[in-house]
Amino acid sequence: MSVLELSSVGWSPKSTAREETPPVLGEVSLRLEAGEWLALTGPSGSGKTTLLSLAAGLLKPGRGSVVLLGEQLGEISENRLAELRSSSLGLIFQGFHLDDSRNTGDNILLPGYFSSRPWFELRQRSLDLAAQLGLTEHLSKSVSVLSGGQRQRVAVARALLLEPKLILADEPTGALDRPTAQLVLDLLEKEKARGTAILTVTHDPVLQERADRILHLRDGQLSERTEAV
Amino acid sequence: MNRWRYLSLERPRLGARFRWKDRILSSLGLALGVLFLIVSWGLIAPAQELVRSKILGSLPDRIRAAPSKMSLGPLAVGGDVSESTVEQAGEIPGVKAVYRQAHFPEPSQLRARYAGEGLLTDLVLEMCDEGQVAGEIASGYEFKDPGPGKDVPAVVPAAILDLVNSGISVNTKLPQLSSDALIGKHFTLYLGTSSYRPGPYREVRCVIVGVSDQIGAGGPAIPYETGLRLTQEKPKLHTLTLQLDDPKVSGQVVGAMQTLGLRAPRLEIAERVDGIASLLKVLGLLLPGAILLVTALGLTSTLELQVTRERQLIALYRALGATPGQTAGLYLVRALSVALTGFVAGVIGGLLTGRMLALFLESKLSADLLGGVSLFQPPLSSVAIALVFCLGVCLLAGWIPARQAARVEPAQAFREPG
Repeated sequence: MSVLELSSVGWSPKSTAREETPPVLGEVSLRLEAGEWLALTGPSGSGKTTLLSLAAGLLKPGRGSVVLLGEQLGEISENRLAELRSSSLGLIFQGFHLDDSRNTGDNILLPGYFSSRPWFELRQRSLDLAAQLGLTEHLSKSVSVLSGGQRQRVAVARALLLEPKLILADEPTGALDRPTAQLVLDLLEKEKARGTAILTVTHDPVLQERADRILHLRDGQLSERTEAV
Repeated sequence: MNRWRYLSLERPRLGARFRWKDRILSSLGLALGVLFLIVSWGLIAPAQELVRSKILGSLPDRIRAAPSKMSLGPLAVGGDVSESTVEQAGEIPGVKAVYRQAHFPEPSQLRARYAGEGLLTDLVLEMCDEGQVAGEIASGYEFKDPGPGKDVPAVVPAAILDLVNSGISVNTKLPQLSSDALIGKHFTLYLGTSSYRPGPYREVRCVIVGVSDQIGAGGPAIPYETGLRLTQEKPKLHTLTLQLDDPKVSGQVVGAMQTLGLRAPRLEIAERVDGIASLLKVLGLLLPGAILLVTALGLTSTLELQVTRERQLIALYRALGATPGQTAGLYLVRALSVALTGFVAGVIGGLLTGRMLALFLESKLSADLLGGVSLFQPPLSSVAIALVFCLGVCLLAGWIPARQAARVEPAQAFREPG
């Protein structure tokens, strides 16, 4: 069973009476297996982030189907979808989306508040991730005082907290210097080795080198590249 | 336990989005409503008890019965009770004894000196059976006819002390009076004369043997048999006091009294007092209710604004696995935290304000009048009602914002400017 399967998925923003909006995604299909790392490239505005949102169930497809771990997202309830996100998905947003009113430690632990896993186990995991990403000394600091790179690492640690089956990452190394980017990519590699499927939107050639496959999105259409850019 | 872990996201902490200052500001209206409820109910209940005890007297096993609709206890002006009615009243089931109280039939004056002040006043002299004031006679004295030539025992109405000590007396120069200070003091009665009907009089020396709340406010009372001995005229028997086997049978006894043409005016007044107290309690609910309603509207707006400001955070929670119900729950919890903050602040403020008001009032009233009763006794029911009000109002106020939060579309919210 594929971890993620998009079949002929299309999506358009809602058209207004004045203006007919063109589709962001035309007819996209892709499969992602456990332990596979797929990099998604494409020019700005080509629909990469939209595709990630569809895969996470944050957007509903206009047509086609999105199947996550055997469950078609358009057909399950909001509660089941939330449960799937909590138990199986790790999301890394391009804008990080951290809670600036909380400290680093709390931000890493944030998914744990919606999970039923034992709290002490989650705390230990958050400390381990913080250590691996060089965030230990920042745990009690408010994330609002962290640098862009540090904030990105917090977002990565948060996505990995619940050991997801699928990681959807939007430019996970975009704000990182080369050594730190390598650190993050090593961590993702470890997750991959554990059987986690990874779908990353990226322009980073180093990241593309780590991916098993590279897909290119242009004008809402997906094509596969055989070589990294 | 894990199901509710997400609620701890709303726990108050330093740097939280919804700070203590916001909570306290949002809950000010609630606190005010709760404060008003606790203060008003806390003052009404003891005031009601105090007035009731002053009307009904301190002995719950007694019913005062009067014949006339125009009567007001000892101040009745029309209608006499016949001796046959006295006998029939004594036969009512549950009645242990019947005591008579009558006006001395001739005009009377009282002359006394106390604390350097001379006093000469017309008065309504009462005469009553010994049992009427039994238990309120000072030790070493008795309330019986002493026979000719001896000091006549007299009981002073407790209401007179209340009037003098509250500064309402005509003779305001009198100092504060107490029961102990009056016992054993003498005064002289001039029987057969008054300022409006002067005439020949007989002097009778009396000794105060007790202070009683069982004889009304008309004037001092002397033993019934002494009254009969001191006049040739027939006294006006205006009130009976029925002593009951058990205070619980008072309702049945009052019913039986009505067949004899007797009423219980004090009980009727006490019922009216209860009615007024109930009305005041309802008013004490309505005003806080209105305050809480306005607060609820304000809280709804505040929470709606917070939902609007926190759309990206809500979207993040949803993306990290929060269900729509959990998202709504967070805002309901926030509303509840406002409710509890308002409730606690209101209860503390109410208790302090009520206590200060009571201390102020108690300093203005005599201790005898209060009889050791505190004027502020908030009933537990007022606290419980305040809690239910607060929780109800906040759940209602939080409902609409909570639904809005549950309906946030994460992808759309993420695209909005932060």
